[in-house]
Amino acid sequence: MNKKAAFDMIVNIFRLLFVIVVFYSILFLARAFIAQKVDIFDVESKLLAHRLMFSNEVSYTDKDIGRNYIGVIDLKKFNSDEIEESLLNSIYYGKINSEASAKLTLKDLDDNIEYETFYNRELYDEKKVLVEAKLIGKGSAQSLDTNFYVLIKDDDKLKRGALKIEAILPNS
Amino acid sequence: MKQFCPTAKHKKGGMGLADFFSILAFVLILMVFYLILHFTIGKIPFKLSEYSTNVEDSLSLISILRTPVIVDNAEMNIAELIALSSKDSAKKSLLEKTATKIIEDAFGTSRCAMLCINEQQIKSNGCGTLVGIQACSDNTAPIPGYDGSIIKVSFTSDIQPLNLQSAP
Repeated sequence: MNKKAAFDMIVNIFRLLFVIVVFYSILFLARAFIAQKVDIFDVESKLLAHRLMFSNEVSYTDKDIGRNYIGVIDLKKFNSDEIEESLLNSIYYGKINSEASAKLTLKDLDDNIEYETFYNRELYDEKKVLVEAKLIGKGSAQSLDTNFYVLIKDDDKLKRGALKIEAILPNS
Repeated sequence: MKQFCPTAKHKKGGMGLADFFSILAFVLILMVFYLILHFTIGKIPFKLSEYSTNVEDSLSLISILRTPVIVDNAEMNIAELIALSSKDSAKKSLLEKTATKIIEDAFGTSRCAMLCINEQQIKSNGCGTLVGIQACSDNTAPIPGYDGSIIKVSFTSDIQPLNLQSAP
């Protein structure tokens, strides 16, 4: 191989490297602005909290006119034995619900009493351990608290209350 | 050996001018495309969580307005007290006291929550550490006043500190 041929080969190697750089630059530009992973955990858990809040299983319903008062929690419904089952039936995530769970804590601000109930308690208890262990990745779960200022309908009295919904959803 | 680009003739001992300009052009194109994509795609905000916070604050606002309160031995709700206080300024201190208690009891004293009644801002104790004037939410509930005016009420449950680093 003479000197000129050796020089040409070095230049061509340089050009080949340049073509590779061009190729990867286009790939980088195309992929840099495409969201490959969208974390919808916040939206999913807020959606569950809103579904629970808007559910007529916890809200006060005026039976005479059939109106459901969102933001007014019926204490009788909240403390009833059937609430967990009725919530599971009304907020449907499939026959075997392994999608969503929540703990609802209602605090009576006037009398300083706390009431609590669960949505899908079985899954909540199972996943709460993983949330507390702060494990990440598939198989684990995350939790998000949503707070509402509500009114509590206790017989004829309207009391001030705070509703905390702790939604626990498994990581998919 | 056959060259990849036969038009790129170079002098002996150095690279051709075409090679140099091709690299320069490529770098420029890369920069232009990056900037275009950055200022178009990069600026689209993901607003779903923001909308969700608006729903929570709106629901809390409805409950705040429905909260019963005793005014001069008569039971009314906060919405009626707001309308009354726009006519009778003596009721403003009662309104402020009652609203602050509701906000602090429900959302805690460490968090900055604010009830806006027209220009008036009723803030929780947690707002004390925040510098500057906080903006009220755009989600307002209209309350008719006794003089026929409309009183705009809004509620924000979690006000974040102002980013003073980005201020001019």
